[in-house]
Amino acid sequence: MEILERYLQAVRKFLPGNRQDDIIAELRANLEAQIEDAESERGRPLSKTELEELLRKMGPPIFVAMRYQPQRYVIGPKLFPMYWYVLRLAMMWSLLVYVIVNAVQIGAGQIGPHVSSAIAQALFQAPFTLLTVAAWITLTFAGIEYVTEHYPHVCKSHEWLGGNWSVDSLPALEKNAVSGGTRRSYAKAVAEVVFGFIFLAWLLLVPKYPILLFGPGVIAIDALPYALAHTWWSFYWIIIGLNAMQLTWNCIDLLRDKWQSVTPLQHIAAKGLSLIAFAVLLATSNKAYLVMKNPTDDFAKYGDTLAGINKGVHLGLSIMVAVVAVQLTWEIVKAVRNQQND
Amino acid sequence: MTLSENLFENLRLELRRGCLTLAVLKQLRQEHYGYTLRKSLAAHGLEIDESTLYPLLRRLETQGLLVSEWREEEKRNKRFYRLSADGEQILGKLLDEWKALNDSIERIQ
Repeated sequence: MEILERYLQAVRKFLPGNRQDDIIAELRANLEAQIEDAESERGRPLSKTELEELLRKMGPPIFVAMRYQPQRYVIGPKLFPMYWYVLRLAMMWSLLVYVIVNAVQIGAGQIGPHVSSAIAQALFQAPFTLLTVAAWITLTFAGIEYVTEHYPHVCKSHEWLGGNWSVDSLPALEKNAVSGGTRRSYAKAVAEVVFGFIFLAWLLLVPKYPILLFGPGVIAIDALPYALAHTWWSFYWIIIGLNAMQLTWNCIDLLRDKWQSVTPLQHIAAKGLSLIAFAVLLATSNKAYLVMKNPTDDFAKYGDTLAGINKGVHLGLSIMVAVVAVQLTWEIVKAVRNQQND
Repeated sequence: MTLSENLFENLRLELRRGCLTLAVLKQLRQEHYGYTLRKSLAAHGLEIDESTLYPLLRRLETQGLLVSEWREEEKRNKRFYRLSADGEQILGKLLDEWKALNDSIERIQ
């Protein structure tokens, strides 16, 4: 019976200290009765293999012992949906606050003289900040779970879980839900914010690290006798503003729980701003989108080519502006019609 | 195990969990110790693992539905369980609930 003693000893190690003797004594009595039964059926003592098989069926010691522990949840199934909702909200708020604080600090030059390294540092630290927020939310809810389970008279769980909710608290029916606006999932709305943030950071890094945009082609571009004219900087900052606006709008939609649909106004504003950006380029004086790096040395050799490139860029931009303007007009007409129908 | 077999197994375990508690409470209107209780449930067609039954008895006792005492039987100390007064009351309510559920399910075409 040495094997039985070894089994009980292994189970004991995983049992709570104050109940070990009691549980082991009971387990021993039950197992011994079972062994006796099996032996009387066979009319002989159990072989070592038969005994091992009996204990194997009982299960690994750690699992047997764990079943004597009370069922425990860090956050139970009743509280979990509320936890998940609060966690998502908190993550969005912290991301927004983090972006604003870092943007202000970078703008004020408090983090360091190099904007690109400050942005890279902020991007690197963002996951740690979000993890810290998630840890605090989880700890708080674990505390609520503990109190509602152990002291139900102090903290009634049904109050936390909307036991007192009223039908009047339901939000009004959204217009888009009726008129069939563009629907999007929560995951898509969150993804738009996250990728919008990454895209904006990438865009801000491009002037310092052109390799992020052109890849290895940056070497060939450096070797060219042409450079981008100053007008592209105006275009660049409008695009930055457009993306920052879109990102802020998406964040606000998420925080206000209005992420379900993209409003026509958002489409129109985004398209209108992009039209302004292209119009700024189009208005460039003398259509000088590219300029010579060394005009005195290279003009005679590359002057005609440069004029041809600038003309082509101007034509392309003109077509693009015309297309975007038609789209914008169409969307405005559609929005006005929908408004009148509502 | 395929996905649908796994799903069935999970649903089956979920269904059995509450039923086993009811069966244990009902069977303990008569006094038993762990092993004989398991045998008598098996004799009624309800097989239950030792590693599930013995901790369940402890839990039901902690909840005040069972009472237990150590007693010597056949020269061996054993822990005998039986239904408590509270347990009898709750068992009555649970059996009513069980019958109502069973009747409802039977009535659904």
